[in-house]
Amino acid sequence: MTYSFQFRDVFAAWEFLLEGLVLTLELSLVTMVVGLVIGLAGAAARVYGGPWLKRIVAVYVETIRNTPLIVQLFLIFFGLPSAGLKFDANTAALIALSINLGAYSIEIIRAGLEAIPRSQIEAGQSLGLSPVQIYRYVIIFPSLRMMFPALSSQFVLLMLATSVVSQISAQDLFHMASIIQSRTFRDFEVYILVAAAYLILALLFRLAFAGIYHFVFARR
Amino acid sequence: MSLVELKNVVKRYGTNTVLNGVSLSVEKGEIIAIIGRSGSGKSTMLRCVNGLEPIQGGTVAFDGTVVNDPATDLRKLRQHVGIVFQSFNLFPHLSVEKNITLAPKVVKGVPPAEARALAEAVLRKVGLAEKIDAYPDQLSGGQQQRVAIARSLAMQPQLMLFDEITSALDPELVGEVLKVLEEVAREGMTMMLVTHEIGFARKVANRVVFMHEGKMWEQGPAAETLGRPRTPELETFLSAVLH
Amino acid sequence: MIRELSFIDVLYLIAATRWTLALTAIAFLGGGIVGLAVALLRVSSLAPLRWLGAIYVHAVQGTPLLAWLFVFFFGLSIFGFTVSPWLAAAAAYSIYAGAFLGEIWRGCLQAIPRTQWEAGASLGLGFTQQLRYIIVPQALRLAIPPTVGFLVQLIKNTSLAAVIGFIELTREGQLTTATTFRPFTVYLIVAAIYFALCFPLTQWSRRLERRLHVAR
Repeated sequence: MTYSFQFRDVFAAWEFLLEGLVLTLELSLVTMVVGLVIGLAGAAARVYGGPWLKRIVAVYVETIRNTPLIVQLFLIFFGLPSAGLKFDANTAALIALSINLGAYSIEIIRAGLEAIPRSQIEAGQSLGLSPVQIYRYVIIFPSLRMMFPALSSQFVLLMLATSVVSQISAQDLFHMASIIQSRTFRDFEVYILVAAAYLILALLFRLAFAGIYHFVFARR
Repeated sequence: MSLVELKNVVKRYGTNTVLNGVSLSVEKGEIIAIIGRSGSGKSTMLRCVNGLEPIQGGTVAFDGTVVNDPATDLRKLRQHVGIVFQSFNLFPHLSVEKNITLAPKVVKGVPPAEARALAEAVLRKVGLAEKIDAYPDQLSGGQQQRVAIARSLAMQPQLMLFDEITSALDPELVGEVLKVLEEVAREGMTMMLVTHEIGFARKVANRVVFMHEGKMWEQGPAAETLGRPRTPELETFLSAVLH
Repeated sequence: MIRELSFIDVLYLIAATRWTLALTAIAFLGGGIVGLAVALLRVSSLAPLRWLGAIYVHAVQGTPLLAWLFVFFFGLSIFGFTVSPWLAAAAAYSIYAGAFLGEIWRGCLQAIPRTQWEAGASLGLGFTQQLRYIIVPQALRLAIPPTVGFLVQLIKNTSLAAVIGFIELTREGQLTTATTFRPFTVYLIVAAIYFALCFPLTQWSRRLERRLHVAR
């Protein structure tokens, strides 16, 4: 049998795709910011915190890194309501993604912190800086620069992983694909098109990260 | 016919010309010491002889085979041209025996028992018979380099290239390696060696070649060339390394 | 029909884990074959082959795994193939794992110094002989910790096969939830089972990594 590709109906539904694209972008960007904040705070706690704090952060990181994102998402969206916490799909998605990315960011940033030589911290101490000031002014920048490549590929992976939120009916790009599919019955075309859209997004993200690296880190 | 024949060899890395028309011929049984500052192109020239460096102009021939001809089977050629590197380049995951017998077994199809005997023989030559089952990281730098020489010898090459083989060694280990070199030289091996050991060059080499700015600047019999340099560049170089 | 969540359900979940493991094994095998080819393409001396490898890796690493699952599950059926979730999942995961394993292994191959290739070449070994006797044995040691680490990713990502109706741990969890209406407990158990599978591997990978660093 020969199959004739038919993209017309699929393209006709471009408004759906655009709407989904916007949510995918929003989810990705907000998650990246929250994930980075969790990462910076958590990594500091993991490296410089007291023994209990260290242990708590370690448990968080290991729990998240050793269970699937989709199960975390289901637990928050389907499971938590029975404990009285009810979120709409987008909020649940954002929480799950942030918690997930946060754990990975902590691991990555921690490696960067541990690579900072002790002498840098001692230099900060002898200048009379407080621990927070040392972290803020002496440590964060060079370790972020060192870990930027790892962090940015983690962020791209996160952007792709947001597609999972379609499974709790958040109206992201991937979910829109299934809506169009059910209207046009053009399964193959829809998913090829959506895959291409993600590919372009991934490229744009990589470009953006390269740009950020160039402007923020490479010059100093 | 000379064993090695370089004619107007030109080698560039991008816009940087490393060899600028080098010509040199080496007869069977000769021992050539190549000296010169770092960056003068001496190592590069050596690496052109066994085809490790592609060249941009001229010809390199070994035993009548043009090395830089794309049709030349470099694998076959390299079975006859051994090279020993500055950084030893032993295979860290293989024992001394396996380091030595790998190429004879895989390339020449020597049976295992015979290969072991071969390893024992070449190790005796370099004075390391008892290290046959050791691993490279259990050996000193000097010992590693002697194993590297043995590894090369095991292929029974017609020509051996030595690329600054004592430069990475602690001073007290240089002697044992030079002694092995002398031993190899005495057996009539054709050798080209890039070296900073001027005293050794004077003692062992038939001929000395002085490289300068990518050119073969001056050459001649060892004692004469080192004793009475004809060019001011060689004179300056010698006075710099000898003092 | 709603019924109570019982110990039997937990046993069913544990039993479904074997399909998670089976899918992981298939994905690792298929991905391993693809990955080996990709890694070799990426270190090839021919530029077009290197580009081919790079395009493959970037295309796969730039698209969601979900998209591959759907393309194979829905896509192949329109060409007249009857596609079982098994076949679609096997194909999608092989493609996905192949790109990641290929990149990991390429890194390990390239971590072996160029001088090792040169030493092999100088002894008259050909490209494949250098690869087989000199480069791969050394790269293998480097490759084990990150490969085990990726195995953890793979186990977790087999959960996505649930969306095309492949019955494994996560799908079994969904089914159990549908009949018992105890999503919180069920997904907690599901998560715990994944954790029990992945955590030891994560630790093992870390230990291997540390040993490698000490050895150097």
